[in-house]
Amino acid sequence: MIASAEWRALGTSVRLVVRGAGLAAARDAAERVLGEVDGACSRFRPDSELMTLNASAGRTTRISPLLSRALAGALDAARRTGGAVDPTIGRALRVIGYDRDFDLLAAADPARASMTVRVAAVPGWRAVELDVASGTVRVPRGVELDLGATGKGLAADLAAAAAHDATGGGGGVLVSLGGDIATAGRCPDGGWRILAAEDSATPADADGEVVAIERGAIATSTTTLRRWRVAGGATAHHILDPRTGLPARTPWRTATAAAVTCEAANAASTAAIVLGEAAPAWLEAARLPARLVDGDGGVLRLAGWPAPGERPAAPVERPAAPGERPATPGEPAAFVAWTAATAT
Amino acid sequence: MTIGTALLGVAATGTFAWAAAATDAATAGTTVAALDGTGETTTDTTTTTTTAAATPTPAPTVSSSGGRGHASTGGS
Repeated sequence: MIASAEWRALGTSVRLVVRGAGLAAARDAAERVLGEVDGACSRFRPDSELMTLNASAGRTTRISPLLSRALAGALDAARRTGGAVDPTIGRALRVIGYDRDFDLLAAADPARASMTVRVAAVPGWRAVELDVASGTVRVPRGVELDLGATGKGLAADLAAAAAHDATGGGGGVLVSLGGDIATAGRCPDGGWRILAAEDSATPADADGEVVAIERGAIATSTTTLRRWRVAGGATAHHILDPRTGLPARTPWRTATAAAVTCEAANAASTAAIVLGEAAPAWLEAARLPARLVDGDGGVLRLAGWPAPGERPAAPVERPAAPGERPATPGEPAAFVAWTAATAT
Repeated sequence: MTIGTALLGVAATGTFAWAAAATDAATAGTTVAALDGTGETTTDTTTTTTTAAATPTPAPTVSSSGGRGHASTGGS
């Protein structure tokens, strides 16, 4: 039996799919976790822990285990993407105009036609001093954190895990948080079927390219949504290049990536947009299956992402890259997400 | 330079539990990096934390599929 529920949280849509019984309990658990993540990590809630931390820049601040976890994941993603995904872009996002939940942004000023573009430098993720052992962090004065790239994926991961637990653990759960998809437990026969779209509002049963995963996660980043016009007729979007503090100039309008965790998948899809021409080589090296859509709608499938109708490749272990320690038992999934692989 | 990254795992109970990973197999802990006025990393220190057992999960294989989707991936 497959059952589903939909609602909104964290400024986006949530879709919960449960294989087996326990949909109501799963939803309760997912809603609770998403509320906790929102309270800890939101940049659009003045009462969130993240906003309190940003206001405390320059001082060592004690933070909750959840925010510490989210920040650790963001810094790990920054390191693994060479800084293409960087949590210190918060001020640059605010300065360029992405300063509130996008629903409110659009409602307040749909065109943003009179906005003057301002640019703020991105300090860089190495400026953040996180000590997970003591549960403290120090953010230099003037630095504002944004956990949008990895925090959304982490929220989906945590919600899926909690929902799966709430069902008793015998079935399977899929959580889509605005198109960032995490799974837990047993998949349906044939796997979790995912429609690869550019807009997560596309109905799941619409025609299009459908792929399947038995476990893990898939996330998509796009420059086609959360856009606004700025002075001079230019258009801004919400994926900033940390090197410039400006919306990324990229040949890819949409990037979708698969990884063990949604946190890693979202970081990879975001990095692909930012890296631009360098994205295919980076994704292949990281062995992260990915689907890139260029500005003309052309599709590039990489690192094991199948062509429509293609038989699935058998999974293989990826050898460690030079200087990289191979995955070993004892590692958390968020780390393994970047080191495991599939066949190409 | 040793860089360690400490991560929280999700325990089977749905609560949070600490786990750690590091590039140095002998230690696990946190990286504390500081910047000097030139923007260069000047210090890296590692503190030890407890490593919790966790089983690595194989990366997902993405396969082509027919039928209708359970969910749509895409931007939002």
